[in-house]
Amino acid sequence: MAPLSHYLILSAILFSLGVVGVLTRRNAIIVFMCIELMLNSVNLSMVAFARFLDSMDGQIAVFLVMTVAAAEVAVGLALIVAIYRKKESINVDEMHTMQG
Amino acid sequence: MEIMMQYFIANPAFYCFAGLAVIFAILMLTMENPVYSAIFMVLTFFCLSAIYITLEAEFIAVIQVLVYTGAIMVLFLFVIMLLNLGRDANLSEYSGPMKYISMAIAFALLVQIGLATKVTFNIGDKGMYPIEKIRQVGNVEVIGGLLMSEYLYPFEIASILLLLGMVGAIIISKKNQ
Repeated sequence: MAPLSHYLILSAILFSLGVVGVLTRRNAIIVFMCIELMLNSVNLSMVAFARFLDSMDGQIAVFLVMTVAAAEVAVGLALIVAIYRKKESINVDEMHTMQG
Repeated sequence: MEIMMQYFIANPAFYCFAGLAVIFAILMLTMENPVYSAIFMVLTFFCLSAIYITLEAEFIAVIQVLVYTGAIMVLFLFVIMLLNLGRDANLSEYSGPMKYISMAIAFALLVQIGLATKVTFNIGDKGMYPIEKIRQVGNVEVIGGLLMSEYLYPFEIASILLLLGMVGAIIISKKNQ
Protein backbone atom coordinates (compact mmCIF):
# COMPACT_ATOMS: atom_id res chain seq x y z
CA MET A 1 0.00 0.00 0.00
CA ALA A 2 1.19 3.51 -0.81
CA PRO A 3 2.31 5.63 2.16
CA LEU A 4 -0.22 7.88 3.86
CA SER A 5 1.48 11.09 2.71
CA HIS A 6 0.84 10.16 -0.94
CA TYR A 7 -2.88 9.83 -0.30
CA LEU A 8 -2.84 13.18 1.50
CA ILE A 9 -0.94 14.87 -1.33
CA LEU A 10 -3.44 13.55 -3.88
CA SER A 11 -6.20 14.89 -1.67
CA ALA A 12 -4.43 18.28 -1.48
CA ILE A 13 -4.04 18.41 -5.29
CA LEU A 14 -7.73 17.66 -5.85
CA PHE A 15 -8.74 20.23 -3.23
CA SER A 16 -6.59 22.91 -4.87
CA LEU A 17 -8.06 22.09 -8.28
CA GLY A 18 -11.50 22.56 -6.73
CA VAL A 19 -10.41 25.94 -5.37
CA VAL A 20 -9.13 26.97 -8.82
CA GLY A 21 -12.48 26.00 -10.33
CA VAL A 22 -14.52 27.89 -7.76
CA LEU A 23 -12.40 31.03 -8.20
CA THR A 24 -12.06 31.04 -11.99
CA ARG A 25 -15.36 29.79 -13.43
CA ARG A 26 -18.52 31.88 -13.77
CA ASN A 27 -20.92 29.08 -14.62
CA ALA A 28 -22.75 28.34 -11.35
CA ILE A 29 -23.16 24.64 -12.19
CA ILE A 30 -19.42 24.16 -12.72
CA VAL A 31 -18.68 26.08 -9.50
CA PHE A 32 -21.01 23.61 -7.82
CA MET A 33 -19.17 20.61 -9.30
CA CYS A 34 -15.89 22.02 -8.03
CA ILE A 35 -17.36 22.25 -4.52
CA GLU A 36 -18.28 18.56 -4.85
CA LEU A 37 -14.66 17.85 -5.87
CA MET A 38 -13.41 19.62 -2.73
CA LEU A 39 -15.80 17.59 -0.54
CA ASN A 40 -14.54 14.40 -2.18
CA SER A 41 -10.89 15.26 -1.67
CA VAL A 42 -11.55 15.68 2.05
CA ASN A 43 -13.38 12.32 2.03
CA LEU A 44 -10.28 10.73 0.53
CA SER A 45 -8.04 12.05 3.28
CA MET A 46 -10.51 10.86 5.94
CA VAL A 47 -10.65 7.33 4.52
CA ALA A 48 -6.85 7.25 4.27
CA PHE A 49 -6.45 8.35 7.89
CA ALA A 50 -9.04 5.79 9.00
CA ARG A 51 -7.12 3.02 7.25
CA PHE A 52 -3.71 4.02 8.58
CA LEU A 53 -4.93 4.61 12.14
CA ASP A 54 -6.83 1.28 12.38
CA SER A 55 -10.01 3.21 13.02
CA MET A 56 -13.52 3.15 11.59
CA ASP A 57 -14.55 6.68 12.56
CA GLY A 58 -13.22 8.19 9.33
CA GLN A 59 -15.41 5.95 7.19
CA ILE A 60 -18.49 6.79 9.27
CA ALA A 61 -17.67 10.49 8.84
CA VAL A 62 -17.37 10.00 5.06
CA PHE A 63 -20.77 8.30 5.04
CA LEU A 64 -22.29 11.31 6.81
CA VAL A 65 -20.46 13.79 4.52
CA MET A 66 -21.92 12.00 1.50
CA THR A 67 -25.42 12.31 2.98
CA VAL A 68 -24.90 16.03 3.49
CA ALA A 69 -23.48 16.36 -0.04
CA ALA A 70 -26.53 14.66 -1.53
CA ALA A 71 -28.90 16.98 0.35
CA GLU A 72 -26.75 19.97 -0.60
CA VAL A 73 -26.81 19.09 -4.30
CA ALA A 74 -30.59 18.73 -4.28
CA VAL A 75 -31.13 22.10 -2.60
CA GLY A 76 -28.36 23.84 -4.55
CA LEU A 77 -29.62 22.73 -7.94
CA ALA A 78 -33.15 23.78 -6.93
CA LEU A 79 -31.71 27.21 -6.10
CA ILE A 80 -29.99 27.36 -9.50
CA VAL A 81 -33.28 26.50 -11.23
CA ALA A 82 -35.08 29.19 -9.23
CA ILE A 83 -32.40 31.80 -10.03
CA TYR A 84 -32.47 30.87 -13.73
CA ARG A 85 -36.24 31.39 -13.79
CA LYS A 86 -35.84 34.87 -12.39
CA LYS A 87 -32.70 36.09 -14.20
CA GLU A 88 -32.45 33.89 -17.32
CA SER A 89 -28.77 33.34 -16.50
CA ILE A 90 -26.60 31.35 -14.12
CA ASN A 91 -23.59 33.62 -14.31
CA VAL A 92 -22.36 33.96 -10.72
CA ASP A 93 -21.34 37.57 -11.42
CA GLU A 94 -24.96 38.50 -12.03
CA MET A 95 -26.11 37.22 -8.64
CA HIS A 96 -25.56 40.47 -6.77
CA THR A 97 -29.09 41.38 -5.67
CA MET A 98 -28.13 41.20 -2.00
CA GLN A 99 -25.00 43.32 -2.39
CA GLY A 100 -26.71 46.41 -0.99
CA MET B 1 13.31 8.68 -9.31
CA GLU B 2 14.41 5.24 -8.21
CA ILE B 3 12.29 5.49 -5.08
CA MET B 4 9.24 6.67 -7.07
CA MET B 5 9.64 3.63 -9.35
CA GLN B 6 9.72 1.34 -6.33
CA TYR B 7 6.53 2.88 -4.94
CA PHE B 8 4.88 2.55 -8.34
CA ILE B 9 5.78 -1.14 -8.72
CA ALA B 10 4.63 -1.88 -5.16
CA ASN B 11 1.21 -0.34 -5.73
CA PRO B 12 0.45 0.47 -9.37
CA ALA B 13 -3.34 0.71 -8.90
CA PHE B 14 -3.19 3.69 -6.57
CA TYR B 15 -0.77 5.71 -8.72
CA CYS B 16 -2.61 5.00 -11.98
CA PHE B 17 -5.96 6.01 -10.55
CA ALA B 18 -4.44 9.00 -8.75
CA GLY B 19 -3.00 10.29 -12.03
CA LEU B 20 -6.28 9.69 -13.84
CA ALA B 21 -8.23 11.46 -11.10
CA VAL B 22 -6.03 14.55 -11.39
CA ILE B 23 -6.26 14.57 -15.21
CA PHE B 24 -10.04 14.19 -15.17
CA ALA B 25 -10.36 16.91 -12.52
CA ILE B 26 -8.31 19.33 -14.67
CA LEU B 27 -10.45 18.45 -17.72
CA MET B 28 -13.59 18.98 -15.62
CA LEU B 29 -12.73 22.55 -14.76
CA THR B 30 -11.44 23.54 -18.21
CA MET B 31 -14.38 22.29 -20.31
CA GLU B 32 -16.62 24.97 -21.82
CA ASN B 33 -19.68 22.79 -22.06
CA PRO B 34 -21.13 21.86 -18.64
CA VAL B 35 -22.29 18.46 -19.95
CA TYR B 36 -18.67 17.43 -20.54
CA SER B 37 -17.76 18.85 -17.14
CA ALA B 38 -20.40 16.62 -15.52
CA ILE B 39 -19.05 13.56 -17.34
CA PHE B 40 -15.47 14.30 -16.24
CA MET B 41 -16.67 14.92 -12.68
CA VAL B 42 -18.14 11.43 -12.67
CA LEU B 43 -14.93 9.92 -14.06
CA THR B 44 -12.96 11.67 -11.29
CA PHE B 45 -15.27 10.19 -8.70
CA PHE B 46 -14.93 6.74 -10.28
CA CYS B 47 -11.15 7.01 -9.86
CA LEU B 48 -11.64 8.05 -6.23
CA SER B 49 -13.87 5.03 -5.75
CA ALA B 50 -11.09 2.79 -7.08
CA ILE B 51 -8.68 4.46 -4.64
CA TYR B 52 -11.08 3.65 -1.79
CA ILE B 53 -10.83 0.02 -2.88
CA THR B 54 -7.03 0.19 -2.53
CA LEU B 55 -7.66 1.45 1.03
CA GLU B 56 -9.99 -1.52 1.62
CA ALA B 57 -12.99 0.69 2.28
CA GLU B 58 -15.37 -1.27 0.07
CA PHE B 59 -18.60 0.12 1.47
CA ILE B 60 -17.48 3.72 0.91
CA ALA B 61 -16.34 2.80 -2.63
CA VAL B 62 -19.74 1.32 -3.48
CA ILE B 63 -21.78 4.19 -2.11
CA GLN B 64 -19.42 6.63 -3.84
CA VAL B 65 -20.43 5.09 -7.17
CA LEU B 66 -24.10 4.79 -6.19
CA VAL B 67 -24.50 8.32 -4.84
CA TYR B 68 -22.28 10.27 -7.22
CA THR B 69 -22.87 8.51 -10.53
CA GLY B 70 -26.32 7.23 -9.71
CA ALA B 71 -27.90 10.23 -8.10
CA ILE B 72 -25.80 13.37 -8.28
CA MET B 73 -24.68 13.12 -11.92
CA VAL B 74 -28.24 12.46 -13.09
CA LEU B 75 -29.37 15.50 -11.11
CA PHE B 76 -26.63 17.67 -12.64
CA LEU B 77 -27.30 16.49 -16.21
CA PHE B 78 -31.04 16.89 -15.67
CA VAL B 79 -30.64 20.51 -14.57
CA ILE B 80 -28.17 21.29 -17.40
CA MET B 81 -30.54 19.89 -20.00
CA LEU B 82 -33.66 21.35 -18.36
CA LEU B 83 -32.18 24.85 -18.46
CA ASN B 84 -30.65 24.17 -21.89
CA LEU B 85 -27.21 25.38 -20.83
CA GLY B 86 -25.39 23.39 -23.52
CA ARG B 87 -23.22 26.32 -24.52
CA ASP B 88 -23.98 29.66 -22.98
CA ALA B 89 -22.37 32.36 -25.09
CA ASN B 90 -22.73 35.17 -22.56
CA LEU B 91 -20.89 33.15 -19.90
CA SER B 92 -17.46 34.53 -20.73
CA GLU B 93 -15.06 33.14 -18.18
CA TYR B 94 -12.60 35.20 -16.19
CA SER B 95 -9.37 36.06 -17.93
CA GLY B 96 -6.22 38.05 -17.29
CA PRO B 97 -4.96 38.92 -13.79
CA MET B 98 -7.98 37.54 -11.90
CA LYS B 99 -7.33 34.06 -13.26
CA TYR B 100 -3.62 34.10 -12.41
CA ILE B 101 -4.22 35.52 -8.94
CA SER B 102 -6.70 32.75 -8.13
CA MET B 103 -4.33 30.11 -9.51
CA ALA B 104 -1.55 31.52 -7.34
CA ILE B 105 -3.84 31.37 -4.29
CA ALA B 106 -4.67 27.74 -5.04
CA PHE B 107 -1.00 26.89 -5.58
CA ALA B 108 -0.08 28.52 -2.27
CA LEU B 109 -2.77 26.42 -0.59
CA LEU B 110 -1.37 23.27 -2.22
CA VAL B 111 2.17 24.05 -1.06
CA GLN B 112 0.91 24.77 2.43
CA ILE B 113 -0.98 21.47 2.70
CA GLY B 114 1.94 19.60 1.13
CA LEU B 115 4.39 21.04 3.63
CA ALA B 116 2.01 20.20 6.46
CA THR B 117 2.00 16.53 5.42
CA LYS B 118 5.81 16.56 5.20
CA VAL B 119 6.87 18.50 8.28
CA THR B 120 4.41 18.38 11.16
CA PHE B 121 3.21 14.88 10.57
CA ASN B 122 2.33 13.30 13.86
CA ILE B 123 0.25 10.15 13.67
CA GLY B 124 -2.15 9.62 16.59
CA ASP B 125 -3.05 6.61 18.68
CA LYS B 126 -4.13 3.42 16.92
CA GLY B 127 -7.85 2.67 16.93
CA MET B 128 -9.79 -0.49 17.71
CA TYR B 129 -10.26 -1.75 14.15
CA PRO B 130 -7.04 -3.15 12.66
CA ILE B 131 -7.38 -4.34 9.06
CA GLU B 132 -7.16 -8.04 9.94
CA LYS B 133 -10.19 -7.70 12.19
CA ILE B 134 -12.17 -5.87 9.51
CA ARG B 135 -11.23 -8.46 6.89
CA GLN B 136 -12.49 -11.19 9.17
CA VAL B 137 -15.92 -9.67 9.79
CA GLY B 138 -16.39 -7.64 6.62
CA ASN B 139 -16.27 -3.91 6.05
CA VAL B 140 -20.02 -3.44 5.60
CA GLU B 141 -20.87 -5.33 8.78
CA VAL B 142 -18.47 -3.25 10.88
CA ILE B 143 -19.86 0.03 9.51
CA GLY B 144 -23.44 -1.18 9.91
CA GLY B 145 -22.83 -2.20 13.51
CA LEU B 146 -21.24 1.13 14.37
CA LEU B 147 -24.03 3.11 12.69
CA MET B 148 -26.65 1.21 14.68
CA SER B 149 -24.86 1.49 18.04
CA GLU B 150 -22.24 4.16 18.64
CA TYR B 151 -23.27 6.53 15.83
CA LEU B 152 -27.03 6.08 16.06
CA TYR B 153 -27.82 9.77 16.66
CA PRO B 154 -25.72 11.10 13.75
CA PHE B 155 -27.37 8.46 11.56
CA GLU B 156 -30.86 9.58 12.58
CA ILE B 157 -29.94 13.24 12.12
CA ALA B 158 -28.67 12.41 8.62
CA SER B 159 -32.05 10.89 7.76
CA ILE B 160 -33.87 14.00 8.99
CA LEU B 161 -31.43 16.14 6.97
CA LEU B 162 -32.24 14.18 3.80
CA LEU B 163 -35.96 14.66 4.41
CA LEU B 164 -35.45 18.40 4.93
CA GLY B 165 -33.33 18.58 1.79
CA MET B 166 -36.08 16.91 -0.22
CA VAL B 167 -38.80 19.23 1.12
CA GLY B 168 -36.56 22.27 0.66
CA ALA B 169 -35.71 21.38 -2.94
CA ILE B 170 -39.38 20.99 -3.83
CA ILE B 171 -40.40 24.26 -2.18
CA ILE B 172 -37.52 26.29 -3.67
CA SER B 173 -37.98 25.06 -7.22
CA LYS B 174 -41.77 25.41 -7.20
CA LYS B 175 -43.21 28.16 -9.40
CA ASN B 176 -44.54 31.15 -7.48
CA GLN B 177 -48.29 31.40 -7.50
